[in-house]
Amino acid sequence: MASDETSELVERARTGGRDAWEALYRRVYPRLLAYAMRRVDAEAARDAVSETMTRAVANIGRYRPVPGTGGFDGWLFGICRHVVLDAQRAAGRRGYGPPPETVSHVDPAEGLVSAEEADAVRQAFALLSDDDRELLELRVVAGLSAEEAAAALGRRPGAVRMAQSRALSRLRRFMAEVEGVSA
Amino acid sequence: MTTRDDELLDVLAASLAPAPEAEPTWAEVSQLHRVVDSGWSGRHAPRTPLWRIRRPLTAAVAGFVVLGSASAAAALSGAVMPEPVRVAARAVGLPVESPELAGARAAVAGLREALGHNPRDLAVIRVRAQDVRDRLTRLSADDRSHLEDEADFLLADADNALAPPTAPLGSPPPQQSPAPSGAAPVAAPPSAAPAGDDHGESEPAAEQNRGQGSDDHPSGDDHSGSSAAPTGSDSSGQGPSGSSGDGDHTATTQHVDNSGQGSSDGGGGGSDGGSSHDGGSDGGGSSGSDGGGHSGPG
Repeated sequence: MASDETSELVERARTGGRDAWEALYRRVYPRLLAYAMRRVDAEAARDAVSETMTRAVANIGRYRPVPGTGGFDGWLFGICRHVVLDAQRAAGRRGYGPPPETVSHVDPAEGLVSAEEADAVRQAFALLSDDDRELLELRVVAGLSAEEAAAALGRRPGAVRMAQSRALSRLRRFMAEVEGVSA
Repeated sequence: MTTRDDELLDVLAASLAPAPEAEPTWAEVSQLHRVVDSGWSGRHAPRTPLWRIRRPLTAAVAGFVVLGSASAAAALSGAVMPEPVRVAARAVGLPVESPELAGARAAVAGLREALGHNPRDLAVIRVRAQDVRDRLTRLSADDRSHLEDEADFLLADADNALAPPTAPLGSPPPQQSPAPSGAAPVAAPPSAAPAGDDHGESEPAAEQNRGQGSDDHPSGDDHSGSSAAPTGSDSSGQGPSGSSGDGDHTATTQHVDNSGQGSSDGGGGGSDGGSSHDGGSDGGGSSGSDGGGHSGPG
């Protein structure tokens, strides 16, 4: 969806347009749910997505669209991140790992990655630190740009790019280790 | 194994990607609608955020503290609190006197000061006495009760001081216009006792009576004084019967003597003694009869 269309929906949502909110919800729901399901179980993830939208409705007046700062999606995922952290604290869970539900969603038929390679990637990904995993999930699972991920994490875009580069280097190293072990 | 970051991100996305068919359920969408509706119904009447009222709130608290401090300092030091401060302090509920009572109290103090001067400045006393009377009329009953006793005493003293001077003993009678027989007596000052009842008292006599615990009726019932009283010598001393000035003067002398007896013999109070001697007769000063066997107006 084009950013102009998102901006228009956001402006309508500011005035209480139910249709605009529903459109935004449907548009962002899969990514919010996927991001949340990386940390909590499916039920808690759906609750987290609903809570995220509730907080977004309540605080839409505070959202200021500034170019280069992540836009609406970065702001929304920032809310979701805090909601998920709250849910994790409530569950007494420290850190996070890939819930089993997400593993089965890989479709090797797409041709981009083989099933073996995808499995090695997931094993290597699990070896990363929490910060690295969170950053990479915001990029690849939530589909955020570096600016949007920076907005969600409350960091500078340049710092996020550097952290991403280092995380990918570590992932690459871990993948080599996993492939070496499997070979 | 990919070498470029973008390619690795694509591989990672393909490995971790969610199911593309994920959609919010009908219940979740309905819940969002309710949230939106309730959220905007509440926004039509937004509450003022705290940060917007923080300055006025801080100013109000600071003002209250300043007022309280100023009031406490004024109360402790005895200094006169400015009227605006007093009004504001009462408005916020601090226990300070009303501005009217404070003004009346200051007026009474001014009158007391004027009466304490020696020699007395009658013009100042007259002005200040009138000021006290004006302020007393504006006081509430509760406020007036705080000042009434002292104000009455001082006003009576002021009236005595403002009364025409008594002719000394042995001096010729005061020049008076020859009033025809049966003419109405000269009107007394507003605060003076009714003519004929007040036979006057010189200040020493009055002070003596007060010292003996007698009922102090500065203008009315105290008959123990001499006829140098503001009304007694001039108006009541002249009875309708047309007594001569000499007779009045003689009676004056006798009244002084009687007051001394009344004060000392009455026991129950100077006023009683006085009245026992010449209450009737002096009252009868207006009738020209003599007082209790004393030499009357002849």
